[in-house]
Amino acid sequence: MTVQPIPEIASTPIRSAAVPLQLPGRKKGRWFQRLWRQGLKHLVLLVMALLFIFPLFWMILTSLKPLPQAVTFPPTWVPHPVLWSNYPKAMASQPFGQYFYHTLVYCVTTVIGVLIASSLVAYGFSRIRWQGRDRVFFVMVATLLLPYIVTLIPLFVLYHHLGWVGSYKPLIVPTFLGSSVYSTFLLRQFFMTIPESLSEAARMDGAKELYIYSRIILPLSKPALAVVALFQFIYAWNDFLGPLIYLNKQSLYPLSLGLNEMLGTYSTNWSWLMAASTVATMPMIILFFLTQKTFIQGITLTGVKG
Amino acid sequence: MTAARETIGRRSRGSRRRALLAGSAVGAAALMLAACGGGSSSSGGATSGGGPGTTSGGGGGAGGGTIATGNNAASSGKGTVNITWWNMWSGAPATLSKQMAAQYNSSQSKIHVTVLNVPSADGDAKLLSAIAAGDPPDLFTEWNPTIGEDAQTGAIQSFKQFETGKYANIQKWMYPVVADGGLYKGNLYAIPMSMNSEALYYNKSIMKAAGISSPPKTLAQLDADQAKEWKISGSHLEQIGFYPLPTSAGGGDLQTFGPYFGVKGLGYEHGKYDLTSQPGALAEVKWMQSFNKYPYSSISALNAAYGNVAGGAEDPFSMGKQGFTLNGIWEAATNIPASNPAMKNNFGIEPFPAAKGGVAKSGSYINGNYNIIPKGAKHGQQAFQFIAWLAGFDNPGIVNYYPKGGWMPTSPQLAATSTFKAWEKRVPYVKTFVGLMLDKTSQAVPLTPAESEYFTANGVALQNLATKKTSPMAALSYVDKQANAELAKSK
Amino acid sequence: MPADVARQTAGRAARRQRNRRLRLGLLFISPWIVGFLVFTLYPFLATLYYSFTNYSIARSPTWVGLANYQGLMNDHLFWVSVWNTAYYTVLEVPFSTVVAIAFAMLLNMKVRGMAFYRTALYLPTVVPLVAGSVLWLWLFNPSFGIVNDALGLLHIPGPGWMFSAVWAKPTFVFMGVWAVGAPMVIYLAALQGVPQEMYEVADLEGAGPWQRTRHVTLPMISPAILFNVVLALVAAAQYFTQAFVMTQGGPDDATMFYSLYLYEQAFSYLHLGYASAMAWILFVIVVVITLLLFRFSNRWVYYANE
Repeated sequence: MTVQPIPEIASTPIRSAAVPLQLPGRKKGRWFQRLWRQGLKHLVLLVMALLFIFPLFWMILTSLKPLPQAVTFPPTWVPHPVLWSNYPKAMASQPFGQYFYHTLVYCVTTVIGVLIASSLVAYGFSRIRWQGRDRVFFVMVATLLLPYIVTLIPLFVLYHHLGWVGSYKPLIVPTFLGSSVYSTFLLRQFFMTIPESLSEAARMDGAKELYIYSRIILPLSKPALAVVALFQFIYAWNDFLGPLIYLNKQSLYPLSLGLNEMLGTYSTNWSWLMAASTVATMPMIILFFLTQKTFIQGITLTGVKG
Repeated sequence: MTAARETIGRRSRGSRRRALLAGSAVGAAALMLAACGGGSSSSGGATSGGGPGTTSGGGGGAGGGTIATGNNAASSGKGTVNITWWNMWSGAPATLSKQMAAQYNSSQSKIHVTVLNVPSADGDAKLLSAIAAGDPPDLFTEWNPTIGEDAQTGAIQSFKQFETGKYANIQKWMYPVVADGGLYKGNLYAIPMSMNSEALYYNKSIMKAAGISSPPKTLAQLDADQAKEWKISGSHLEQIGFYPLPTSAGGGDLQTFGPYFGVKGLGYEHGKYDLTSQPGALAEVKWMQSFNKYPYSSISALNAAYGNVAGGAEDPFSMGKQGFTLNGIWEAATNIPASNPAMKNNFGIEPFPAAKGGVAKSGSYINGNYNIIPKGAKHGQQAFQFIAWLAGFDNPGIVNYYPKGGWMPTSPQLAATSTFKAWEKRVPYVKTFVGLMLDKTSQAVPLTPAESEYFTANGVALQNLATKKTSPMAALSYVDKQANAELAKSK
Repeated sequence: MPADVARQTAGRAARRQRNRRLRLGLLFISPWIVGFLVFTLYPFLATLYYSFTNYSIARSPTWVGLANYQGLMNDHLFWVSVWNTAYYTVLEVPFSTVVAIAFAMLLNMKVRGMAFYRTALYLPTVVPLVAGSVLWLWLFNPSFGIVNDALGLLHIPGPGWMFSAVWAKPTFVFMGVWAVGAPMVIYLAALQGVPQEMYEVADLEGAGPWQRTRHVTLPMISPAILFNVVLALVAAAQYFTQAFVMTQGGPDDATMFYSLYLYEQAFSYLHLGYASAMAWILFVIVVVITLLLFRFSNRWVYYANE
């Protein structure tokens, strides 16, 4: 595929001396310059990383303090003594095993739903040219624009008539029907960046649309699918309002509601709350760390265009 | 390059297999979800002990294919009626509520109570959704100022139909001020299960350090004493004396201090809000205004620092940073022991001094957690019986929960029980709090459809007072205006 | 005449092709259509109806025509909430877009240990709201928080943050920086998809780093930019959870955002009709803005397959 030069660049006058002079004896200088640039990059990244890790760091620090220290001001930096026992005690204070189980089921099922439904719908909005497509797409996006607060009651009444209240169904089933407009929108954008020529060529070879979807487009979109899956997982993991409204049994509560239970009406054991929150957050951190590689690898395949 | 292409091929073959698996997983999941009823089928009634390990609705569906309604499953066992109770407690009081339900369940076999602790932040939204769908819990413990408008809009049921037989005189059985808090247009719509009166707490060591020998007996003395206790260095607030104004992290309101200034009806009389015409209200606001010389944002910051905003209830007083505060018995009975045991022997309690010179004490603002029966509840009669039991009617044993919950009794008869007397003897300040329940000048906020608006307007007006943006009279007329406008809307 | 017949046949073939594509397109988006009709359209229309009624949830709605809308126009607090939300949106959307792209570009560099840095910057997004809001309150506490302590070290007097009517909204915008993880990840995935050849061409033409960004990077990730900007706009317009949990609209109504006021009207005052009217006003405004964004997107959004 010929890369179409972007007009603006072609009109920019060529600048000289953009590259350091390659004189002998300057090798040491160049190596030093590269080291300096690398070092600078690392420094900037490190500072940012520290700033961003700080809240988590503070959370862990608090989780190891005895309660009176957790709430003193000015805050103490080093827990004294380091109460590792906060963790088992916090975990035992609520049925966390149960909470984890429900959260996991909720996350996994909705990720499956979103991956299947949203990719199919996004395909329909991007890889097939049909009349009115973009207008209908806009309608879909527009459904995000009405605050959930007012649709809460009519929707709840509807789910009640279906007999789904008191279970996770109102939260899971819609994802299989493309309810995650966010995911569909995201995938549509990514699908749009895959050249039409790939689809055309396959069509001319007699391939069915579903084949193109599953054998050509999906494999090329692994990173986008990974992002969608990751985001849906994290969203479901932390979803608080949905379970709050639709669940009527404490035995069905997910992690988010369970954590909230630790905010006692009269007083809260902040150390335990932070310990439980840390335990609840760890899987997400690990998940992200493991999956973020997918965003990188495999994308070079898109360079093989046309 | 070829290796890469092969890998792609293998991956896409794998992806087809995965697609098939996914497809069947979807189908299986859908079937599973459809089969497992509403997850709330009446498998012998869920345990109300709140322990871990209750099986989720998944497998235990007694009513397999039936559409399970959210809450009121059919009775299990001969003639037992299952009722659901939602409350917004979490932590220690949530456990207490579960214990109470368990005790009730084991004491008789006609009614079985299932408790659900709902997060407080959206508790009302959840309740209202359930009412709209026609499937609410049988009883709900409400502590937000919404009971008046709930009654007006028909969201909750009047108790008139239940006040028969042995319950005919339940209103008379309660303290008058307690019954007041549940009456709307002459009918009872709510019965409390736990009450709260307020008294003055003082920090002994701070008082001593400031050279004050004994707690203040008049308001003027309180003003003078607390002034000595402030410790501010620059923008750093170290210690608060006393601060009646609300901060953005919560705090006092007009109704809290109203009784000490002789404010009648806490502002609501003859069908409208008329604080501006009550001299007591003006005196109250002027007194509150005198505290705006203290740094409002620093005080907010200190209150928020102790988690006052995000749901916790530690406050500067329990952490030993405040000299005087007005609070209910829960501060002493639950907050301090839980958050700062070191404070346990460092505080004292006195009745809050009244504004009128010479009057040693006055009644206080009374509030509590009121149980309501939502519209559409399937077992109103049984719910009412349980509500009466929770209030202590025909159930003197409820007093056993008071020390743990930091609650005051709903009826003088409960205060006369030996259990209660024993508590009084053990813990001297109990007498102070319970005495306020009887005081004729104690008041509860009258139930009106504009209560929510009244509270909100209160907060705004007093915050403006604290930040010197308004004057006492303007603050009062703002509250009147907002609350009356809301009243007009609900006629 | 053969020419006419040929043209008619060609016309019929083209129509058949169009219909076939229409059917295929609709088939692919059919999960969304079902979900939309059942779970979205009905609540939408229900709330539109409510907006013309007095609806206190427990009683059936009573028709009041335009009274709610008129009432809103005269409602001082309504206009305060409009201002607050507009202020926040205008600050937040550009700010978070720039920050997210900048961070993504930072994370796109070839530096060792990038997995760690990426995870670090994404971290705050996964911290549960319960722990998160407490953390921010502690960190940003004007008297005792680390932030003001740190500023004090630099001899800068720290502002009142969430307790100052002036600083409250900017505080929420700053807090939003921590939540920039999700758009950042999407930009990162998009950046990875920019073919290396593009940069090579740019380098050959002598483009400097800023020109590379402006003429290669940004256009190539423009589909992702459109996506994130639209979603940032929607999120900012409906922003309220943090204000609900942390400041309850204060101080001095500085953080009384549109959706917070809406929520109060619905569930504290039982004016669901009034709240629905508010929701629809917001809907119309945001739809118009989004429509404009989409309409003008073909000027700056570049899809590789077009």
